Amino acid sequence: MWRWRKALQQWVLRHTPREAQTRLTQRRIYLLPTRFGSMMLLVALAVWIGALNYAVSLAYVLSFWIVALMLLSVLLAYRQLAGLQLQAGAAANVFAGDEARFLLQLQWPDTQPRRLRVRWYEADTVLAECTTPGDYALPLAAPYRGQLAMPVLRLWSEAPLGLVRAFCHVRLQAALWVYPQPLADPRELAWHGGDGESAAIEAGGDDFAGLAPWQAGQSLHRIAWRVYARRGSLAAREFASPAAAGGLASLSWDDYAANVPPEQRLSHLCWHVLQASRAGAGLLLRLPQGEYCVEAGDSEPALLALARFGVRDAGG
Amino acid sequence: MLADELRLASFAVLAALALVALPLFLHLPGWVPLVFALLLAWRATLVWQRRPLPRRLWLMLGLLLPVAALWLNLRTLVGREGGVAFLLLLVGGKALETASLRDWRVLLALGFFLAATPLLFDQSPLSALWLLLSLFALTWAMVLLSGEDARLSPAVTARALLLSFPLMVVLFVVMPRLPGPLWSMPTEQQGATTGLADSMSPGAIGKMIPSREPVFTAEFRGSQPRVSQLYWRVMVFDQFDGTRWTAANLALPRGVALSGEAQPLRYDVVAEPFQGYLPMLEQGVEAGEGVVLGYQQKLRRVDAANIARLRYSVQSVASSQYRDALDEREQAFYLQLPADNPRTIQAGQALAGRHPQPAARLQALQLWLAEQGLRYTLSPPTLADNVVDGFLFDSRQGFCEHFSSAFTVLARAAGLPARVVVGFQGGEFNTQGRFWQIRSSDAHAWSEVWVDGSWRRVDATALVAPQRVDAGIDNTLGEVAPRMPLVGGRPPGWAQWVGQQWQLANFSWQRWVVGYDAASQQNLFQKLGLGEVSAANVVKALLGGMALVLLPLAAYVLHGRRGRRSMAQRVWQVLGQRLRGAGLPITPGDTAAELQAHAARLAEADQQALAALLQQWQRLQYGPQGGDAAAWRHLWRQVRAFRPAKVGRKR
Repeated sequence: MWRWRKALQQWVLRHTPREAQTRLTQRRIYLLPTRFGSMMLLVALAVWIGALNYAVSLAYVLSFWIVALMLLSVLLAYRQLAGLQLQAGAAANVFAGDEARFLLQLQWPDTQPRRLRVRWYEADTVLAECTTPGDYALPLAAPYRGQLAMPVLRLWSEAPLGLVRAFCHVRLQAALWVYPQPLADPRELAWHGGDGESAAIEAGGDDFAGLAPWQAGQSLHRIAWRVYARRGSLAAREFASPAAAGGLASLSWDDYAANVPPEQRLSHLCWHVLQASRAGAGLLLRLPQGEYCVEAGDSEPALLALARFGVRDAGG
Repeated sequence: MLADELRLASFAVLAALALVALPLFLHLPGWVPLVFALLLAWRATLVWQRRPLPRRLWLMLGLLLPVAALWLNLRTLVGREGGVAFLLLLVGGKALETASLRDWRVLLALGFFLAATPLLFDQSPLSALWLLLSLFALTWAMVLLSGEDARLSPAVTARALLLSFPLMVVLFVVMPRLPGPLWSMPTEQQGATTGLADSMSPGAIGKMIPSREPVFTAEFRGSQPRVSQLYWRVMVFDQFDGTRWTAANLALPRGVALSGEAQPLRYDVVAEPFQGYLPMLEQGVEAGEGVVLGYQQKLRRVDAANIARLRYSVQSVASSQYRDALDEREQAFYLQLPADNPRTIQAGQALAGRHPQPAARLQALQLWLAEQGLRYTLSPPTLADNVVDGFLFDSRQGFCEHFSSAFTVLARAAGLPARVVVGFQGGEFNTQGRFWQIRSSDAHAWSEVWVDGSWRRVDATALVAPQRVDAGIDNTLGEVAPRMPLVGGRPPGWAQWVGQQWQLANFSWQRWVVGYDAASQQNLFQKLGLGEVSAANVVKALLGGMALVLLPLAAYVLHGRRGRRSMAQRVWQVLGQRLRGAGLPITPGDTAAELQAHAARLAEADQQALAALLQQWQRLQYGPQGGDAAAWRHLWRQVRAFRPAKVGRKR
């Protein structure tokens, strides 16, 4: 029994194509009696046998009405899913161990309320009960670093009687990156050219993007005047090129002993990136695959680089 | 702890179960449904107070007590009464075991099964009404259990039942019926049944007369009979102990031979067996399916123990006599008389001495009885010993049973084999439904005398009160005439009309719902041109009927309601089609402004028409009041009528 279930699951997973958006038609919607529905069919059968034996016409009425309710339920359950338009919204990246939230955008052509439920195909928890069109956030545990594609979704409805279940499986095109889980690292950061003080600087205004000492010849409008006002030294707002990274915190894959496992290294690096970002400092991250210069306050590129580390398919 | 939604649903389940079981108070020992109701109430209290369920062990032990009491009460846990009572107790126990949604659903499914049980006892229109009510309650509970919004649930329930009704009708009509039961049912001792008793003593039939309760119906195919031909034979009594006539139940295999070549009457009867026998017009020649014509021209069910109402067809020749060869032993049996009633016996013997020819003797007996100055009344004085003597010579007042009993005794005393036949005489013709309604008050008894190799009917009552047969009992005896309730007096015309309509409704109910069996199904199939009720034809009819019902149903469920709600979209869509038809590159996503931009290529008049339509659409769609249905329909018609001229190719 369990093996058949497993095989069926594998088959469903293999035969659900990934699609950007989809509209449910009768080719996608499956209909099966629920456990309760099967029970009611048994009751109808029992009543029917009784009617047959005792020649009770009204018992036939009861038995056939139950069957008719079943048949009607097929139509009603089908209606719950028919014409449904699904699309995935943009999902925010998360840290490993946190909960990812995929966004499901549901639309249907009419204004009738529906009663649908959504769950991941391979898990049993009901994620959302949808009664109106709109966006629904679907939580998914993200235990591992890397890219997380939206798993196969199962949408189903037993409305309004609970006798027949209409369901379908959809794999939507949506993915997010899971950053490494930050892991505290006692090691001090190495600093490039800076005065060491910069690590303590609080993140200032909103548009404070990244800093480097201003050098003659640089455009005047790149000068961070507010920093000048506070510190008295000219700083240029810097937009990334590793060569220009003068007073940046430096992080490197190679800072760790060879016996530190890669995931742990990435976690430590992640922690440092976050620390630096919190401190509002710029950052130079050296990984085997390349170097990333990160402006203060914007840790995203560095985190992405960490998340993508070793992931072959780095699209998205 | 139960979620609040499930709490409401569980109350609904318990209420539905209580409703379903309510009619069982009429059919089971009262304490059984009472225990059931208490168990449900207990469960409801636990849900209300959010208290835990009782321990399962205690529950099982607690249930043993009523089950044991049931056994002591009924001496059985199977069969109709025992089985239903036992089931009721078990379902009540199950109610105290429900915790999860799944448990409640099991209980609800049992409730649906329980809804069938009162139908085993009663199938009147009232029971049907109750079934409808039960179905609504059960389905409502089902809707609530599936998590529907409580305020919407009654409408959802009603809609589900209404939409499934036509499907049910198709299944009801088409699904094959079996002519007999799958297994024989345990026979049950019935309480006092109304109707004819298994013996005839003075007053036995008289007590049935005042009741105008409908007893059975008959529907003739072809010509209708005359009232005087309507002698409905049910039972034959051939043993007399001086007071009481009983049936000896001789079981001799004997065919029926009818004199004359009269055209038989064909008719269908819907009746419940009386002491196992069914009414049939004298003289029966052929019995249809499910019934068998036996000795003494008595009709009975094939499955004799079954006391359920039955629809059967019979063919009879309306004749007052039929040929039957009696051997010496039988003749002697039909002549047996106790020593009581000496004066009657003396009179019979005297007549026999004067008329040696049996046929002439029978004539003389009838003449003699007619001359005795007897009076036909429903309330004759009570007679003690020698009841026949007392009736013929002292009180001279009596009723059909007195007359038939006296005449049979007289005939036997005169040496003519004779017996008493009990049944019904007459009936009321329902002109709307074209069927005969026979009532309890039509109960009658007459004699049969064997002369020259034939049994001849002698209705002694008719000798004295001929109008009993010609005009019916209602017009013969004032006591029996229909009266208005409370005010009394003969009912006015409209009341009779209402009465006839009610009869007709009842008859149709019996005919088409309760009595819809294998034979009726066969009839209907033939009328619909489907031929025999065979597997292939049933499948054909099922597919055809289902398609006939399911397709419109599917169209309604899947598209109907959606369409009504989005009139704006539909209007918009048609407008786009019209413009595309005119050769404009309109896409479904175009806005009103884009539409008008494209429309610049249209003829001037068309452009103006389009502008007016768009303006109206916008006013209905976005206006402060919004569009009501009539306004939308008006616009819809206008848009349909809008046919812009084709845009020239060369542009």
